[in-house]
Amino acid sequence: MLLALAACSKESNRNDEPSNELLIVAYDREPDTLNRFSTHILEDVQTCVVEGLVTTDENMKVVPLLATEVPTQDNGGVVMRSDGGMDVTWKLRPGVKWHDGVPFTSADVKFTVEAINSPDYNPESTDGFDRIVSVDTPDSLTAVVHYRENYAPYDIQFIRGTFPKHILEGKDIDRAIEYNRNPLGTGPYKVTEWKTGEYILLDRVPGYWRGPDYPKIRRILFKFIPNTTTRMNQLKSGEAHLAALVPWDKYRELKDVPALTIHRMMGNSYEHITLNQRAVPAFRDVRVRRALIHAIDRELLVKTILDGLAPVIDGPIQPLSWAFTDSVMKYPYDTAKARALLAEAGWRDGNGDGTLEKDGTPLAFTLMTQAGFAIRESIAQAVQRQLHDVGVDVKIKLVDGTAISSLWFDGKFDAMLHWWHMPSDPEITLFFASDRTPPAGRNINFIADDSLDKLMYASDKTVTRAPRRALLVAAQQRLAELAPEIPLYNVTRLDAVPRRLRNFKGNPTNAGIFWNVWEWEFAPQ
Amino acid sequence: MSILRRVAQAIPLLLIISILVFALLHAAPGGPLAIYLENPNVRPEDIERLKRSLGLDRSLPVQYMAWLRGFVTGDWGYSFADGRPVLTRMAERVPATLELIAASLIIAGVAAVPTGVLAAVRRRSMFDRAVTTLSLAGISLPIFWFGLLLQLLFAVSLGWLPSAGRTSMLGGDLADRLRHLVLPAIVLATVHAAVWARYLRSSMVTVLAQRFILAAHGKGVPPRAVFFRHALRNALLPFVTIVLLDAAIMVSGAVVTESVFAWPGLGGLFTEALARRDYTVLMAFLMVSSVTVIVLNLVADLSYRFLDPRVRA
Repeated sequence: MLLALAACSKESNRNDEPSNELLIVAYDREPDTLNRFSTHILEDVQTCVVEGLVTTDENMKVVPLLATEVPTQDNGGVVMRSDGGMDVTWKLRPGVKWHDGVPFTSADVKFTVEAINSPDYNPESTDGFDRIVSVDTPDSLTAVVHYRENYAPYDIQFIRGTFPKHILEGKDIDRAIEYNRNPLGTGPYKVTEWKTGEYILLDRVPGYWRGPDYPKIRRILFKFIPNTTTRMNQLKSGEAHLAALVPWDKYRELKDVPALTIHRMMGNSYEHITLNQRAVPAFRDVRVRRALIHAIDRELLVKTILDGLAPVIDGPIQPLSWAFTDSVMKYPYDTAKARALLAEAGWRDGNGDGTLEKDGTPLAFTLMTQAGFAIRESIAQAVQRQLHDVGVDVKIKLVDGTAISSLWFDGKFDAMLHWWHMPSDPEITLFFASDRTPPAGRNINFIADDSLDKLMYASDKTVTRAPRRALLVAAQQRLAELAPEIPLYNVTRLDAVPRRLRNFKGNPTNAGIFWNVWEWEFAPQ
Repeated sequence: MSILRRVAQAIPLLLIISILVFALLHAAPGGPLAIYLENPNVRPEDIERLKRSLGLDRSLPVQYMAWLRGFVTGDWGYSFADGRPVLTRMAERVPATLELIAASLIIAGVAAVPTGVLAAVRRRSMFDRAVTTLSLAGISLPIFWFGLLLQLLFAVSLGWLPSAGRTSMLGGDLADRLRHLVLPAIVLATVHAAVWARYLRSSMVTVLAQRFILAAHGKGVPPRAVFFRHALRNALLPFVTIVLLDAAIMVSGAVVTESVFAWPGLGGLFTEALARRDYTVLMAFLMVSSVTVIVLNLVADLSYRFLDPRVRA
């Protein structure tokens, strides 16, 4: 009866053509909070509402947003002090107002730093803020931030925006439900409705600081569709118009949908196999690690399983970054070389069972990866097969997404197929410094190399770009020699966007694709 | 008196369930803070600070007792994911789940009762065999697969119905809500309709073979009256139990359907909370599910007393 009712209904679900009136986004999750400092990732909805002093553009370049310029030593915005600290002067854009009409000022910047460093509030991270000694506000449009030490990623310190002092001063921010569900921002949109479990509706803000012509699109509806296949079906049926981060195995399904374009761009993340030297003694021998990379035909994996959508990479800093270098030691697919390296390291198949041994110990390990991630499961099986061909026995262990995080954090794995989402600042100390093993960091290869440590720590303290880049290039070259992990491919982004949408640029960082939503508009039909 | 006894018996049962659920949740790898580990900006000191703020630095018995005390007094704590009261998060999801269950029960009942009865009356006919085959297919269908199949047909290919969600935007009108309800309700109803039809057929066959039915025929009661007044009434008695127990299971068992159709009910909340290891929400959800099963079991038992004079005697 219900079916008949629906079928007889003149209404169809294909009546919401994307236009400057309404853009419908199929979103893979419901945000936990819209407070940008409390959430675990920089979310897209927040990007439309709350603006940072800077953002990162499609080339991963830090560009000013609520600041008039990005402070540097060249423009006098960064001053290195003789006591080892530094002062950063932020000049704020004049005429910017919060959505309630109150002017945005340097007092908001100062309040934000103080709130995040206050023991009364629990932001997700205080990284960088805890190096700030104080903030001076000589006038309403100038904030001088005093750091106790040199801090290279100072330029993205306020990428998440600021708190409105006049709203949150004296409040318990952890429990400020009204703000956390409907934050006051300076961005092109405001939250009109958050229907729990269903959607968030954003409406254009009148009087946006960029002028009356912006933003072009009146409403944006974020529909929460956690199931990937359902999300793809929404795009195909026209019920949703845009979806970010389309899984690679769905590319073929969507590429021929007439209303869509699949926007493809390199990401700032890389898929790799971490080799836990603490758990598997064989991984402590650099010859074994190099042999494992030689034994895997990464080009073939990318061409077949990934449909050629992502390029093979050779290290953690991605080609988009200003610090990237391609002049590092490479390990092309070469099984003869892999076998020779393993033999040199003393691994031989003494009993003829196909698996190499040394001192009675077989060359075997368990490769852990995330269950339900179809591409990863396929890659893991292919790696298992290719390593078997050179005498390495690999077992695969699939673990759910939440459990896997605590397992690697505790070092309870042999090898792990996963990716790191790298920060837009090319700091890699956290992942490879010998003193940054868990819980102090993410060095879960448990690699320890003095020369690498020196290069990375020196780069973290170097604010000027050219010398910092030189240090990071040297660090990448040393890292490639050490081969602590098996680099596989760049996590290339696929975003499904309406074919008629103009000015969509994408973004490789966690700033997300909505960073320039103010200029999006639809071409006439 | 017996009702009070049953309620009293349920209390230690719920206590045991709560201890087991609490222990199992904390034994599972990962925790509410695991999600932060992927973010390189979150440092160990941040993790420790967040752990303290959520009370996760206390011993498990202390955490359990604090939860139990709060749960009994109506303070179900705050969600670890968004910091809102658990009661609020649960309450805002209940209407969608009840709506889906009610629609599914109606569809399943309307489909199962006539087919089950007719299959029993026309035993071994083509119709009976068709019902048996379809029932087996309905029971065997993986819900997520069936849901996606209906989406492809009715939303993507035909464009008749929405593929997911509860409303289009800003609440939607009644027709909009019904159009969104159709597919998830049919999917959820299918398995139950299949089981119920099989059950009712079997129950009817048993009743129709009893002597009082023969006596009714012998007295000259018209066949229609024999089937509906005498046979069906008796066959429906155990059926009521099945329906009530299925309704209880649907409260927690609509997880897959709600996930496939992005239905904003308790099932979706459960999936979300499980992925985040949102202990407070998970405990509340599992306790509410347990209470629902116990209460509807009690209602099923009590309904016999009213429906069947022999039990009352």
